[in-house]
Amino acid sequence: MMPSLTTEAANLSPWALFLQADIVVKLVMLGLLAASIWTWSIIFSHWMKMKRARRDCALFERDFWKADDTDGFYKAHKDSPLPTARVFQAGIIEWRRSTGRSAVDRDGTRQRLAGAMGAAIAAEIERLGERLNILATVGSVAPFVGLFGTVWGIMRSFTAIADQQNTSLAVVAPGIAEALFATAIGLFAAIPAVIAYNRFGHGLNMLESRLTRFADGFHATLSRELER
Amino acid sequence: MDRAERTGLWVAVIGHALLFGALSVSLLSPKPKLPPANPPIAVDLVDAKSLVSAAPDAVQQASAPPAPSEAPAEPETPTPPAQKPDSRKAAQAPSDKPTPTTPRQSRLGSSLASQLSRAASRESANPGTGRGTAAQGSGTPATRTAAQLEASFIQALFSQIKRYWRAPTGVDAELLRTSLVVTLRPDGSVGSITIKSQSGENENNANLKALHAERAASAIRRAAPFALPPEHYAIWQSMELTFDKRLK
Repeated sequence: MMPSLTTEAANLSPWALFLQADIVVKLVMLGLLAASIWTWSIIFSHWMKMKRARRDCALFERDFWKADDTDGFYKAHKDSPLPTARVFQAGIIEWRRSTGRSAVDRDGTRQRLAGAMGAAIAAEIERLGERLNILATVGSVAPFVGLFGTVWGIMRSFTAIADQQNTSLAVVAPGIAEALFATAIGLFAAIPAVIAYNRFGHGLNMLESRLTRFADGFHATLSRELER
Repeated sequence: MDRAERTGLWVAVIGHALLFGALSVSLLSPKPKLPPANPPIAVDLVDAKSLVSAAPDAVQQASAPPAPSEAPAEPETPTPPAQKPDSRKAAQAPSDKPTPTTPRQSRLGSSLASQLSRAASRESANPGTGRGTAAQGSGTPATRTAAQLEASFIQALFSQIKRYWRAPTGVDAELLRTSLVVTLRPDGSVGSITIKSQSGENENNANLKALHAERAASAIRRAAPFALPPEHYAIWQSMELTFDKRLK
């Protein structure tokens, strides 16, 4: 009867559950907590980056289509880290290289321009989305890791039953509570990761199509220049 | 790690620390229960209570025998002379009378009966057993009420033991019955517990037999002390309790 008296509800706080747990379950909990922190830091940083990128790209495009002097605009935005500006820079560099020679191969120049800008788009999307695979990994693996901790903890609880020859709930309950806490942390880490992964994947697709539209427009402008 | 990532990391760490702290400190733990306004009150079952008022005079007669050993024999001594006209003992007479024709034999029989009635009032006597009928046969209403009284004491004891009694579970465990003889001290504590008999055993529940007896004994010990009327100590100082799956 004594264990049931000492196991107050206050002892079921996360910290107490963590302290009571087995070393394996502790490691699982720590790992999952680290995964959760990592997930949320990625979520915040990515969210801020994407928000800024969307706003700045819209401003950049508006300025670009208003500008009459493409060379002057290029000089002003030569070192801009914006995704749209990178695509623009790649286009201009390729344009200068292709048209710098005496004989201009128009078809070849068009193909090279399209290729260079496509590569720039892919590189930008890759750079922005490099952390998203971590979200996907956490989202799919964290529940399993938590489940592992739970299974381990429940195994320990059953061992406690066997040791004490006592099946009363007071013997089993703390162990099972601490074990289930591992699954809770796993889900706590996994659910935001999965939601954020889907959400950010969608955001990246939107940005990619926006960059592609801009590249197509710029490519059309340069092609017209070639025909003069 | 650029500025946005560092900011994100700090936000995440602080958010987790806050959430963890909030859960650890207060939010998860339920509000403390209010202490009960009244101290717990001991509640007796009605049948355990009623026995005291039911047989007040029988008690004195039943508890009398231990002190003066001749007291129960007293009403019997007039009986041998009035053997023939005695019609009240018609139930006992047919069994006794055919053989004892001489007064000597009849006196021996009556003293045996008185002895048995005393033993019955001391020990636990099942009203159904032969001993019980012998006690009844002695004719004094006091002994019969003492047996009733004793049954009530057993009932009272069971009602107190019941909450500590957990019959072992298993195949055919409900068939097991364990009879224990319990010696009680005047203050209601348990003196000794001896296993008298066990029944209902078969090959399925043989391994539960010892556990059954052990749990029965521990239930008695945990339910002790028993608050039984001290003036009836002669009756409840030693009692036989039979444990089955549902105590009755």
